[in-house]
Amino acid sequence: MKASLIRCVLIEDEVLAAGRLHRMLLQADAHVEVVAELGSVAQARRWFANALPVDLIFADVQLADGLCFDIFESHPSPTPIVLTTSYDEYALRAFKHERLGYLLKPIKRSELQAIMRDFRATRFDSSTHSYGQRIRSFLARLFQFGKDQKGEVMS
Amino acid sequence: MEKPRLYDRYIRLIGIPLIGFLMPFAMHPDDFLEFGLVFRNSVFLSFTSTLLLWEGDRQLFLESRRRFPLFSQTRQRLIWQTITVVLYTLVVSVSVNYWICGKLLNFHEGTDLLSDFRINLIPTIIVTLCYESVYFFQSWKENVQKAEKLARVSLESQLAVLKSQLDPHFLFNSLNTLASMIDDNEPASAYLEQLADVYRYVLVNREKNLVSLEEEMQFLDAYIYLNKTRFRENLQIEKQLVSTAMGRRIAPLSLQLLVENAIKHNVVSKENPLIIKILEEGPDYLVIANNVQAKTILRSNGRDESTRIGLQNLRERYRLLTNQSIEITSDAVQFRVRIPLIAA
Repeated sequence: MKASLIRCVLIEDEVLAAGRLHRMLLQADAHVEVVAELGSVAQARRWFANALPVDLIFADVQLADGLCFDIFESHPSPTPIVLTTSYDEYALRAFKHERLGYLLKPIKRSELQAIMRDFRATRFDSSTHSYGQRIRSFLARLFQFGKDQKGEVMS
Repeated sequence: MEKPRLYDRYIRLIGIPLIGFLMPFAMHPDDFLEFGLVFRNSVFLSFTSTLLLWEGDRQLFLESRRRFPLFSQTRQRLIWQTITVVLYTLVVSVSVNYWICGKLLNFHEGTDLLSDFRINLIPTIIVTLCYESVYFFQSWKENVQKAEKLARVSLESQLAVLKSQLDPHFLFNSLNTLASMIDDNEPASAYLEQLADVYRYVLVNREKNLVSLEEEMQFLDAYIYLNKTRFRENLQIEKQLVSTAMGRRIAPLSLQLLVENAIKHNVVSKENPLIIKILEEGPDYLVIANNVQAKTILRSNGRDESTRIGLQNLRERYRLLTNQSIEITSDAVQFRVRIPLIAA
């Protein structure tokens, strides 16, 4: 059976880092299409305002003009999000049990592959009724964490 | 320089007439009751003298501030003020006595020049003291504030330097950028991943008291990988650990410290490979041992000191964590450290 295409969006303010993630994604899963690379909160907001839904979002937590949580707050969507983080957001380890969570930079091939395998296993498995619920609770906690973080990071 | 402002308009408007009136009143209270010519002349003279002295002293004070504006010049300013103000008072006394009393009023109340001068010194001293003390406390306050601000700025800049040196964000973002640049170089990418793991472990765990042996061994593997890349087969690590030990706990970075010390102290070469053994001794101890092939140059360059402190530090940590201590045995062929494994 041919695997279905996963349409991804990358939110990353460093051009080199975005390029690397793009290449690694294509290597990790043969049926991935990166439909957009977005470099800032502002650009991402514009894009999400008009775009068709995608399957998976990879987002750097700290962007040049804000936190990625700002985007998801103004454009809530049920799309799963994988956070790519360097260090401060180490607390995001807490989200691990939500399955779709985070990648630490520098991103490892093996970890990205594990994420994509995980995604395929749950995303297209219609028997896991709790999936939607899980995503919603993940996002709820994400926003809460984003607010907490903003208090510290932005102040 | 900015023209000094005194904000003394109201005090002058009130102070000059007040002193001008109070001086003769204090000196001749009897005349006041009569309100005769003597008293009126006295008030007029006193008022004139006070006006001349106050305004003149004020100008002299401003001039002294212009000449010696700094807090550190307070001594010079005071000396300059004293001399000029006393001279000025003398000039005013003589002038008032000669021109106003003698020529204008033809009024002689029977006082001599010296006592006039002494009386005139009173408003002079009051005025000069007031101006100078206000100025003195202002400069003193500014000085203290400046010193405080300086200390704060210096502290902030030190902190900023420290932060920028240690900012883990910067480190890992940079490593990620580097990773994108060496993407097609498999060994370099692998090395970078291990390097990032080593630093992340150090940053995350350095504050902790205990970690599981499993975590520490994973980190040690990454650390050994980095060293093996440098030393190849000249560095050999032999591990003999059973899985049950992995759940027990040790002080973070303790194994890494011991491996680092072994590499730092010993020759690592093709002819003399360094062999580090990590093994269990019973269920409660872990032993790190290496063959001794000391670098002769080491003792002279001060690194020995840092090693001693490192070991001392490790010993102290274990003393605080448990009632067991680490045990160091060393002879000509083997250096051996035994550390307790703490139950989870």
